[in-house]
Amino acid sequence: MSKVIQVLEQMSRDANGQNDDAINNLLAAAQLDTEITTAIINKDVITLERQLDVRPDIVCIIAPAEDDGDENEENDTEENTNNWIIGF
Amino acid sequence: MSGSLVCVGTGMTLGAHICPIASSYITQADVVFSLMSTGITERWVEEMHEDVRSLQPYYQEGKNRNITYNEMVNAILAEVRIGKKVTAVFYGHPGVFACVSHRAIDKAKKENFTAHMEAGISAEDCLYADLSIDPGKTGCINYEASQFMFYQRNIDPAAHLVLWQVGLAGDKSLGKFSTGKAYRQILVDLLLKTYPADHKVILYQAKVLPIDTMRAEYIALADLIDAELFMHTTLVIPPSEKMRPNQAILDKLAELDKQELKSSYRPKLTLVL
Repeated sequence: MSKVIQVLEQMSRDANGQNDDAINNLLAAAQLDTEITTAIINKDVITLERQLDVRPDIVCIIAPAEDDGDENEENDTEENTNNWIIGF
Repeated sequence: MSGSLVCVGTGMTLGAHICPIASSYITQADVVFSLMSTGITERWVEEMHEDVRSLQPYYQEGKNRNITYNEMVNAILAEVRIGKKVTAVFYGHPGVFACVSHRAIDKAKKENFTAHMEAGISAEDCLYADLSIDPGKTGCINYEASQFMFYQRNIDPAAHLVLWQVGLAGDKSLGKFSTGKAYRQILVDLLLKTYPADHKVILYQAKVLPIDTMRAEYIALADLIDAELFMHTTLVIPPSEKMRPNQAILDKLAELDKQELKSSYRPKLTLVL
């Protein structure tokens, strides 16, 4: 696991690591890149994401307002949906 | 060797909520699929296993999300069918306001593969902790926000009402990643049938990274129209009324208690022959 992810994991897991002093000590020991360290200290998630070059534009919606129903799941293709919109 | 499927959740906060069995299923899988809520948590899962495949590429704005979810299910099942031990990883709880896991498990079982789900810490669980709400105190009703608008659902103003995915409320196409003020106005108008316009509601977002700040923003219901909402924003509506006693039931229960008390005073007789 990369050092940055390990540091973030450690910050989350450790009950004693939730204060600024503990976080600073952890970051000093980890010796991460300056930009990443600064982003973590400043709680700058956007910069951190950019520095780590993670996937942008994540979608986090997994609950449809309504299902198509079991009998329609296999038929739920883009073509069928387009036909429904047109009115076939 | 027959393929198998297990769906696990990582919980909401990176590192803090993942349970031992979920970690174990991830590291011991032949292949892992992931559907996480941020790029950094997606990276975190990627670093747990050498073959982690993100389901994110199946999303496309404008595309009916039922198609997306079915494509995700098919991708997962394709690996199960070729005999792989598959773990599908979701943020939060894999089966709470999340249909892909349920559909994948149903389909796997119909095809006689072993498939099950492990519970995880959901955004709902975090909400109760972060907002100091005990759902047992006055009750709590949870609806997907758009479903709440499309169907006639009952709400109880003496209980908490939680509307999930409120940032895309009212989208019938299931293809939008957000809806605007006009859609929110319809939602607010619906809620105003039950709650006063100045009723304090909460916009909630759980902490995902240790450097995140949990959002618990209190606004008047009427101000929801102009509020800043994201995909991961949840609307929490606290009770606006006190619970009203059900006197007819209370009277029946009192009568029952009286009868039980009377029968407990009767002497217990034993027949001796």
